[in-house]
Amino acid sequence: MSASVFRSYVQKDLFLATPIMIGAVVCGIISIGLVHLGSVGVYAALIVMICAGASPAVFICMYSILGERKERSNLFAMSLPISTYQYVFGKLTAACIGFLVPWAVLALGAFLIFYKLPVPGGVLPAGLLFWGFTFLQFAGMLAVTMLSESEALVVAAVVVFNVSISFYIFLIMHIPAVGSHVNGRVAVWSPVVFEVFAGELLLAMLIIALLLVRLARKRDFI
Amino acid sequence: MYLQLMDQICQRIATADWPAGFELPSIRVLAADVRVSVITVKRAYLELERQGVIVTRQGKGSFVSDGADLGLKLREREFEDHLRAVAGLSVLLGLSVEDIDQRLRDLLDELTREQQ
Amino acid sequence: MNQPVFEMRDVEKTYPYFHLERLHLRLAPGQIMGFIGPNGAGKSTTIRILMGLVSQDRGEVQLLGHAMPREQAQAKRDVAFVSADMRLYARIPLAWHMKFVASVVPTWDAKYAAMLLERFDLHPEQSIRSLSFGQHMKALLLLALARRPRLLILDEPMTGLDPVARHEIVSELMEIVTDEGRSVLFSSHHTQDVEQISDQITFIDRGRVIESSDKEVFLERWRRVHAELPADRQLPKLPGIVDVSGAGRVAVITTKAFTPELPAYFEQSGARVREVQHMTLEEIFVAEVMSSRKGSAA
Repeated sequence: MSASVFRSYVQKDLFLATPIMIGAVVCGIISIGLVHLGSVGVYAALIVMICAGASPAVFICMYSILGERKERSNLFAMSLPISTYQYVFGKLTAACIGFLVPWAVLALGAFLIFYKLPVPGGVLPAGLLFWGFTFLQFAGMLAVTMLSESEALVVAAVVVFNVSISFYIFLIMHIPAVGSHVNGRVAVWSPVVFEVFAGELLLAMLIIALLLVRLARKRDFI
Repeated sequence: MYLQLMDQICQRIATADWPAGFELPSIRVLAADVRVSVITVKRAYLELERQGVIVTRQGKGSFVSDGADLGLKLREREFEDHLRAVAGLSVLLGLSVEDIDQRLRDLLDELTREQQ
Repeated sequence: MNQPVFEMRDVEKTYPYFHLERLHLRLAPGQIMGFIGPNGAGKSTTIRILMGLVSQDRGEVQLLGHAMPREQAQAKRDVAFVSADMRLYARIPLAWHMKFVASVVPTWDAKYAAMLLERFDLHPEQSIRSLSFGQHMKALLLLALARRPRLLILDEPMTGLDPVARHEIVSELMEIVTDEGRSVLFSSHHTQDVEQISDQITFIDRGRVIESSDKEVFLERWRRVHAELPADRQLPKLPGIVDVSGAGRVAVITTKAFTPELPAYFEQSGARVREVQHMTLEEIFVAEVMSSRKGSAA
């Protein structure tokens, strides 16, 4: 009984997030078309991709999680046969799926296009690292949203993460294995790239796991 | 609150809407119909039984008392109501039991004289 | 079926500006409990603790035999809850909500739901966003009623409802208890409704349950006594006298411990009792709260 209830809740959240998920993927795909404009196009495409990748995260945090709490729709959800932990876990699951699906699709799409089309691929490793960073950002935002339950803090987090993008780009450009090849025509995949990427993913997953543990101890729902 | 309900029920009995031997609706059904609490109906039924207007048979339900003495029972109830009112008024007027007794005797004498 | 529908024992909850004290509350099946109290008295907090939405600091809560808040998922299968501050999902139509609840609660009665849609004059394809406050309230009540729950908990359900809608909700509530296995707990400021349909009345003020008893017994204990008092006489100080007011020689005594001997008692002190009145629940409510406020100010 509980399993199907849980599934219904996750499905509901994903149902509500579907428009933005599709929108993000569509924007992302379109943006990749910009690479035809040469190296400027590549950077433009990257920026649009970043926005497209980030938007489900922002939407999910602001609307699906915070908004539901502010709107008191969470009371309606909690009036149904579900425990507070199941509710919170369901939100987390839906949020992760809602973010990771467009994230994965866009990453795959970008890779495919870079390998199929005659465009300078030097930027790809840096792009991958950056893409991993967006997942890390998402984990952070999710943690801030679900633990603080404060709109102001989430907005602050969004600002902080946006600003940190430039710092991050600066950082990865300074990794010799990555920065020196960015303007090249061919992607250079050194082990460092994969190590950093793996590190990013692991850190993001760790944050989410810790978040789950912390949420399990929440006593008051309201 | 239950007093008003008792009045309503007695009216239905008096107008033969609910004739002698008629099975009264179950407490919950009547409560839903009249839109009062179950407990009010319970109290009303209890009081009416005490006054002999209705009869409750274990496990079967409540029924309007048989006709023969029903008229008497209703009169009995009316008498009780009036008596209660007289008692209340006498307190307000400050009449003693002896005063009431005297006034009652005078009235009864008057009635007997009129009937002759 | 002799197990109480819910039982709260020694429940306590402390907030920065509010404290719920040693709460004892229980409801037998097949009854309607009316829950009244001033704003901020603790009605919503008590209801939320009962529903497992808020954890009590101390004490035990049993809802349909389940320990709360631990077993709330199981308990809520048979308990429907509507609160005036609850919201449905704004951008989704009512029909979706109905399907959602039906898929999650096996006791959903689709035919009853359809009938309620018509009675409440609601259009299932309309998005929640476009509903007025009263319509939204009716939608919430529909979703709860159509679940055919064993216990229906309502926190200020009449908020924003026009008299016709209130009339219909009262009818539906009464319909519920024609089944003696089903019960209702509702809190309301409409004391008239509470007085009319409740079997039990619970009165809470400032985090304390002042009264929880049979409605008829409760109402019978309160009276307003109008008495003439000569200037040189004093009224006896009896326990249960909540208020004495009045102008000149006529005193109005409000008591919550009325017995048939009371007027005679007053007469003995030289007062002339002119009238003894029953009180409506609203009058009792105001008298009780005012007296406790005065008491604490003194």
